[in-house]
Formats: sequence, structure tokens, C-alpha cells
Amino acid sequence: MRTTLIGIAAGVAGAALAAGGLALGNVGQESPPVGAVATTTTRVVDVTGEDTAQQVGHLGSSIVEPTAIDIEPELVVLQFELRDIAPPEVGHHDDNFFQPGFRAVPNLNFGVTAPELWTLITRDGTEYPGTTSSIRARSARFPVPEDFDPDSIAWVRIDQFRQRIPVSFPLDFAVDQRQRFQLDPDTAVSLDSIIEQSSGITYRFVVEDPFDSFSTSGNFGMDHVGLVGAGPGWVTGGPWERGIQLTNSNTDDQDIVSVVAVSSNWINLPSDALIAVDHLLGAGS
Amino acid sequence: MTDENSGFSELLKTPLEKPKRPGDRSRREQAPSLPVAAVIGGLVIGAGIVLAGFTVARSSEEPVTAPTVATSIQQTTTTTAAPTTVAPTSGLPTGFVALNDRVGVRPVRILHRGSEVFVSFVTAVLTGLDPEETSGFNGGKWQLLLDDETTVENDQEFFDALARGSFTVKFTVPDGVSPTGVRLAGEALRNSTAFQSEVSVEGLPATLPREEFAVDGDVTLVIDEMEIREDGGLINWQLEGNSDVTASVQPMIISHNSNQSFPTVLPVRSFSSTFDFFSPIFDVPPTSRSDTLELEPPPLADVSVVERLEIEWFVSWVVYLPANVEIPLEDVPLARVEL
Repeated sequence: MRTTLIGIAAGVAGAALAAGGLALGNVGQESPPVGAVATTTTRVVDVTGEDTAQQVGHLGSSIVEPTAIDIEPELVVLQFELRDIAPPEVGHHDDNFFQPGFRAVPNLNFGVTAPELWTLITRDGTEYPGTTSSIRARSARFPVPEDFDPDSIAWVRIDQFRQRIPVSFPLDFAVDQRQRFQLDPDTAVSLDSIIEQSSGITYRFVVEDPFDSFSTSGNFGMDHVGLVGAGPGWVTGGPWERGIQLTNSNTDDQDIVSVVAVSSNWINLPSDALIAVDHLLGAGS
Repeated sequence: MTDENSGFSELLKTPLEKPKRPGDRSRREQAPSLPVAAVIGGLVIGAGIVLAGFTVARSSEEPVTAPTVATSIQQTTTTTAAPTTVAPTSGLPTGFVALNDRVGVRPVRILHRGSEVFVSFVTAVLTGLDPEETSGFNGGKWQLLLDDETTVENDQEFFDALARGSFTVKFTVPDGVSPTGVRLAGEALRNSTAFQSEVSVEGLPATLPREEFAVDGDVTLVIDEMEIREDGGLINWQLEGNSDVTASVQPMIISHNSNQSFPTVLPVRSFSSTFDFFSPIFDVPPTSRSDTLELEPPPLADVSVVERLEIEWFVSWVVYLPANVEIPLEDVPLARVEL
């Protein structure tokens, strides 16, 4: 017993010396953040998720991190967080109008990745499908049978997610035809009507953008496709009941009307991200 | 430890502690119980840690250069994607390919629309870098590798701050071929600066003299023609010098008037946009070697009062750094639209 106590005392003395050594070496310096590598970054992000034993999943330009499991009658609810691993986007803000130029756009906290279809997997391999309700939701809901054993929960798998993808399409509409341009498998734009004004011509375009409750933001139901006029003379624009109307100040007859369809759509992408969640059992609210 | 203390010892055990094997106790009892050895051992370990702590702390004094977001070329110049001196500290998620020592990309979708091929990518910073503090990918020169062993250059790239973490590259391809991969052949270095000029006039219309501004190295911005009239006007500009450089020029024209009214901004029509309701943030403005900008009619009741024009020229330009990164497109989801 005496030997043990002396050993402990010596160890404490050694530790004190160690602390002194570290303090001596760090005189005049700030301590690096715990776990940080030797850069000036202030937050270290593990984009591979390898250091957390698959308790996070990689999804597009984000990391998904389950944070809690709530057990309700015949329902398992998984709470999660999304972390960006993408750098800022190039571009410039409108609010910097007075000094336009290329600069990095800060994180505007617009979601760009959203898990949609999930599978809850138990220790015996039984699978229960689940869903997230929208791009803003941060929980997945899994209907389960009445006799479901919460302690059997082991993993979740993300089967499908959405990623916001920017793309634009220049469109030349022949005025004497009512052309329709398919942009991608889901969306299309067509010239509906032409209204002559005293100060210009208004062109009404139909935007076929199927309502998608998962990704809509309530922006007149047209979240994914915008139109801008190409070339000179375009002065105003706005929504009408079936799409977008643009006005050009040029009152001369035009054979071709040139516009650009600007899309930032939430496309479906497959995933097989498998995430361990059993460590969350008992920690839910 | 005596037998009478064995119950207390059991309480101190953790569930993770390995059970003792039959020979353990006897081996420990055979070891010399020397307090002096324990003291020396503790002190030696402590001293070792002192030395290690001092060494580690001192070694961290070595200067570490972090990625720089902005580099000053002249007073009003900013540069994105500045060169970095930090080597990658680790890797990227599965399926990503590093474009440089900061950022990797993964192709996530091919949209084949008639003769147009749109390849969309997601981006990620290398492990160890903070996404908020890392200069991102600012575009480049791309080649689409086709299954007939030919390549085509990209037409356009699309970025949108609403879609942080992804971008799309557009190619135009001949009939009957399919893409097998893409190659980054040059990485864009985007810069911006501003120049000021001023000219006295006696009302409108006014024709301004030719002006030249040194932009970057051997590149000069030349304002060939600038005419401001009551019903509008135009500005012609072009670049001279290095033919690889392209630019975007956005002037802000301020009219100072003789009638003591406030200075007036004379509006310039933007490059195309009239409808930014659904996408409030522009993406990267297109660049070219020359362009003609149109002016809106000045918002002045009497254009004869214009006596001085002050112009701020905002110039963004792109140069390309050499790159050679090949990215396979196998197993990338394909969406096809027939026109």
C-alpha cells in the first residue's frame, strides 16, 4: 500500500513537471485548439468521418450527423444535423452593388443538401423505411410495428438525398411559334403570349415546374427556375399565374426572343451512407 | 492489498476491466516492491514530458502559411483562389478527386440535353481545412473526354451562391458520342480592381476621350468609345495584350451638375438580367475580350446642367493556372432529354 502511495505521489510530481514544461514552452503563445492540425484554421472538420467510427455520413457537399433518437408509439424519430464541407461559392452579392467584383460569398445558411429517403436497420438486419419531410426538416420518421424493440436499433442508411445544382439554359423563342423547351426531365418553359405595351412588349412564359412539397419554399410554387432576358432592352419582370413575364422596351417587331432559364434545382441523388446510431439510444429527449 | 480489502477493491473495478488471470497476482507479488524505483520512474517520466512539451511548443513557433483569401495587387484589387503553401493534411470523402491543395470535387450528375452535356459536381474541402476559411474553386478550363477518344472544351460554367457546394460545367458534343471523363486543364484565378476617371463636359450629349488602364501585367483595358446622350448612350471596351485573359467591365457613372443638385448616377444596363426575383444573387458575370455596354437615358430633367462626369470602372478578369486533373464519369447518374 505504501509503495502504491509513493508511486502515485511521484507520478503527480512528474505530471506537475510536465505541466511546467508545457507552460514554459508556450510562453507568449496561444495554445492550439485541441485536435487541431498546425494551420491557422479555427475549426477542424473531418470530411471523411473516419475518426468518429461511422457515426456521421457523407452526403454530397455535407456531413449528416444524427444527434438523437426519440421513440414514440409505432414511430422512431431520428434527429440530425447537416454540416457544410464545401468552401464558399464564387460570385458576388447584390448588396455589394457599389463595388462589384469576384469574391467569395459567405455561407448564407441556405441548405444545399437534404437527405430524403432513409432506412432504419436493427441488429438482426430488419429494415424499416423512413422519410424526411422537406429540405428544411432535420428529422427522419420511421413507422415501426407496435411491438418494436427500440434497443434493437443499430444503423440508419440514407438511400436518396437532394443536392441543389446550378445550371442555366439559353433559350431562343421564335415569336411566330409557340415553342416549348424541355430543360431537364422535370421542367420546361414555353412562350405563351405577347402583349404590346405603349412603352415596350411583354412576353409571358409558362414555366412547367411540377410542385414538389419536399423542396418548395413557397415562392409562388416556382422555386427552381427563373428567367432573365438576354441582350439589350429588358426592363422589368415578374410572376404571372402560370409562370414569368418579361418586358422589353424595344417596341419593334422581333423574330426571336432570347432569354436565359436560370435553374438551381434540387436533384435526386442516390446514396448508400450507412451511419451507426446505437450510441444515441437512451440519449434522446 | 490484503484480503480484508478485497471487497473494496471489487467496488473500484470497472465493467471494462479485464478479469485477472490465475497467474497475475503471483507475478506481481514476486516483483520487487521498491519505493525508490517508483519515485525515480515517476520523475523520469515527468522530466521526459517536460522535454517533449518544451520541444512541441517550440516547434509550433515555426510559421505556418494558411490559404490566403485575398491578395492585394493594387489598392482596390482582390484576388480569389490565391496560391496556397499548405500541403493537404489528409484526404477527401470517397469518390472525390482533389483539384488542388484545398478543394476536391465529385461528379454527381450528367444531363445530356440534345447536343449539350452538363456535368454537375459537388465540392468539399480537404480534411483539416475549415470550409469557412478556405478559398473555393473558382472555375477553370475543362475538357470532356469522349468515348471516341476525342475531347471538347467547355462552353460555360455555372455557379450560384444559393447552391453552395456545387457547380456545373457545360459542353457541346457531336452526335453519337458519350462522355467518359472530364479533365481540368486550367484553374481560374479571378481578380478584380477598380479605376477612376473624370472628365469635364458642357452638358449632354458628350463624347469622352479614349482611355487606357493597365490591368494585369501586359493586359490593358481600352475604353474605345464612350458616348452619353439624352436618350442613352454606349461604351465600347476591349482588352489588349495577353489573349488568354478575359474580363467583365462594370462602370458607375456619376454626373456632377451645375445647378447645385445632388450628383446623379447615370444607369448602365446590366449584362442581361431583368428578372432576379427567384435568384437574388447573381452568379459569376460572363467575361470576354470586348463588349458594348448600353446606357439608360439619364434621370435628369435638363441634361445641359451636366458639367463633370466621374466614372468608376470595376473590372474583373480571369487568368488560368496550369492544371491537369482527370475525373472519370463512370457510374455517374445520367439524365437524358431529347430535344
